[in-house]
Amino acid sequence: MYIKLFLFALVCVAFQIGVFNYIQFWGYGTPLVCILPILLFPAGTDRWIVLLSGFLLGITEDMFINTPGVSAASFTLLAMVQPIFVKAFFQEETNSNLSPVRDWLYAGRMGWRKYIYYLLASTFVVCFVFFVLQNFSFFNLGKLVLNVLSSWVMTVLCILVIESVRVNNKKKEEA
Amino acid sequence: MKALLEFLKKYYYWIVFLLLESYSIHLLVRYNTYQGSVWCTSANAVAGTINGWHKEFISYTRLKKVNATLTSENIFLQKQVADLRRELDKIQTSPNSNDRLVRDSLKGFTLIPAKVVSNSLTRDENYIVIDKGEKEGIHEDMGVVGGGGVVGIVFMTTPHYSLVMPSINVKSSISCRIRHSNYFGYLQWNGGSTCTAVMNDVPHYARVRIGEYVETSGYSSVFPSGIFVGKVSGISNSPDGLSLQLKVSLGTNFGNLTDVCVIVNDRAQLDQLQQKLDAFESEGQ
Repeated sequence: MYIKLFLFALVCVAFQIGVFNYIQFWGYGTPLVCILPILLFPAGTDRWIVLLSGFLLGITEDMFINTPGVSAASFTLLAMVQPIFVKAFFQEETNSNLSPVRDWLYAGRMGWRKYIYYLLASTFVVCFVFFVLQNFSFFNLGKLVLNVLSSWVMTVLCILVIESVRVNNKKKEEA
Repeated sequence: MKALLEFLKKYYYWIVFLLLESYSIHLLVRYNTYQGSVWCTSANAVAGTINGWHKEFISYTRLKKVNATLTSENIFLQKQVADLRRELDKIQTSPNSNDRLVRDSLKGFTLIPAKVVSNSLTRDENYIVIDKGEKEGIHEDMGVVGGGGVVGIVFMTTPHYSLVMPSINVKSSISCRIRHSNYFGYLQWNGGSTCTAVMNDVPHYARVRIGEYVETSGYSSVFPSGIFVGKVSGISNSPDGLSLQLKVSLGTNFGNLTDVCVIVNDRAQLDQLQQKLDAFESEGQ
C-alpha cells in the first residue's frame, strides 16, 4: 500500500510542477497540492514514516522549483503536526482499531465537515510556514498575508476537488 | 539508562523532526541567496548582541580587579602629585631660582665674592658693609649682586672693606627694564618695606602686567643687562602723573643677606676713554 501512496505522491509532485506552480492567484498565491499525500496518513502511522515522507516530498518539490529548503522545512513541519490534527479532528478514527496501512484518510469515510476542518488547519500551517520561509522577513507584512491567504484558499479548493474525485472513484469501486 | 531509552523510544520522532528541519533550514540559508544574506545579517546582529552581553558580563566580573588596580594607581598618582607639589613649592619659594637667574645673567663677568659685615634696614639711607675692598680690586660704582638679584652699588671703598649703597636706600637709583617688553625706568626706594621698591619713569603706553620680571637694563657700566631685580607687584600712576610707577617686589631679601658678589666692570677703561676724550677736547680749544 505504501507503493500506491508513493505513486500517488509522484503524480501529485508532477502535477504540482507541471500545472499548479503556474497558477498564480492575482500574482500572490500558488496552490500547494503536493502536500496531499502527507494528509492521507491515518492515525497510528509511525511518526518517522510521516516525517520522512514529508521531508522527501518537500525536497523533491524544492529541486524543481529551485527553492532549496523552503518546501522541505514546511512539509516536514506539516508532517510533524499532521498526527496531532488527525487526533484532534477524527477522534473515532484514533479510537478505532483500523489498520493504518490499509485505511488512508479520505473525506468519504471521515465526513466532509470534519475533513474540511482538518484540511483548513493543515493547509494553513503549511502555507504560512512556506511563505514565511520564502519571504524570510516580516517587513512586507501585507504581501506575506496575501501570499498566505490566497495560497491557502487555492490549496484548499484544489484539494477539495481532488478529494471529491477520489470519493467518487471509491464509491464506484465499492459499487 | 532504562528511563532514558524509554524516553527516546517515546519521543524519538522529535529527534527525527529536529534533524530533518535543521537540514532543511541549512539548505534554505546555504543555497538561497536572499535567505542566506538575511540569515547572515540577523546572525551577525544576534552574535554581536550576545558578544556584547558576554563582554559586559566579563567586564563586570573583572571590576574587582580593575578597582584594585585603579586604587593602587590612584595612590601612586596622589603620591606623585604630592611629590611634585613639594618640588614646585621648593622651586617657587627657594632663592635658588633667583640664584640661577642671576648666575645665568652674570656668565662671562668677573665676580668678587664677599661677605656682608654689617647691614641696616630701618633707616632711609641704609648701607651695607662688605669684607672686601681695594686690595681685592673693588672700586666705587661697582655693582653688587646677591643670590636674589641686585643688591646695590659700591659707594665707598677702603683697602679691606667697602660700603655698598643698597637698592633700599632713598638715594639709590638703578636703571631697570621690564623683561621681554624692554620698557625701562629707574628703581628707587621711598622708605617703608625693605621687600619692595618702585620703578619710575615707565611710559604710560607700556603694557606691563603684574608678575612680570624686572631686570637691569645695562644702560650704565655698573650692572650688565638682564640681572634679576624683582617682580612687578602693582601698577599705578606716578605722583606727577606723567608716567607709570610700578611697585616691584625685590628679589633680594635684605634681612638675611650674608653673601654677595661684586661685579668687576670696565670702569678703568671707561675712565681712560673719558680722559682721552677730555684731552682731545682741550687740545682742540
